[in-house]
Amino acid sequence: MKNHKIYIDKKCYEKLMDCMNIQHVIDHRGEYIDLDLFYRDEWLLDSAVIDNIVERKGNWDVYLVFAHIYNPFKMIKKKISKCISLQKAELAANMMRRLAAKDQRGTLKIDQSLFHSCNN
Amino acid sequence: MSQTKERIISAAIHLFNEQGFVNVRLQNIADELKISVGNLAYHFKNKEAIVARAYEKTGEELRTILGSYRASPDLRDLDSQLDAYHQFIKQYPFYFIDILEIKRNHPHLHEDRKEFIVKMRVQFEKRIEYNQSRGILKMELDKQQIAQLADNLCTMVTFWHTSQAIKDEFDDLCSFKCSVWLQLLPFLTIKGKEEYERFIEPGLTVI
Repeated sequence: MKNHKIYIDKKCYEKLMDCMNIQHVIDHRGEYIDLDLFYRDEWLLDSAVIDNIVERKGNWDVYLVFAHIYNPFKMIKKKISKCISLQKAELAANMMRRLAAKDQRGTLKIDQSLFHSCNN
Repeated sequence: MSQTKERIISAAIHLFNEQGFVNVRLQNIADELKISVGNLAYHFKNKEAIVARAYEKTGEELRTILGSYRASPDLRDLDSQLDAYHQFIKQYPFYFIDILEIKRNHPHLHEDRKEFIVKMRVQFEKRIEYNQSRGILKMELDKQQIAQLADNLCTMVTFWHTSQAIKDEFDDLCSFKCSVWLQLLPFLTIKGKEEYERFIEPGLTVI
């Protein structure tokens, strides 16, 4: 097969060289700080997963709440999907919760007393 | 490419280097190879075809040199590229010496060469910018001065062999590299000078 020549104009070549220069600046050994991501999210390993279904604009949004089992105030809520019926949403939420939870049987639970709520 | 064609191109390049591009005729190439012009014409129908193939060959070499950009992150990268440029200049002096002849007689080949020279210049420019960001070259150099400096370096590479030929001086690698580095020396920072003394200076025996 005959090789066809590809011409790169000056501006494009300049951009290419710039990218190569940047590559050399960023291509260095990683720092421990780069691994902070893992340490920051380590608490998620000990979290209870709670499904949450909310009706919104005629659809049922499925959320998963990840809450730390020892400190339930530490939590994150993520929207997973939306369904057109409540039954479908419940099914999806149940499946997603079981997929996301560390223990599929759901033994990791939040102790309500940890909220220190006052009923007065 | 067949072995005979390869031999023809090598002989043609040798004659272009020796006698100049315009002075070489098919007869000269055939004589060099001790074959008939008819036999030569069987492989390449005219001088144009030989010149085109010789330029293709030099183009491949130049592409390899340009492709070595940023092979290492320090000043040694430029130094090794200068080695390669000098080797190219010595191997194919006609490429730069006969610039104007080729521009007049083979404009399409000149366009190819112009593209290489532009890329060489862009590489010098970007290399200067890169070394500025590393703190090797002084930041006082503005965009225009960088372009001018890159132009000077490009001119040195392009016309080095011509200037040495005019002076009837021996074209050695060391003086070529010294001349190029001397352009950059005033703009080196303290860190740059340290790197230069560590990696480059030992390779330049004559200053």
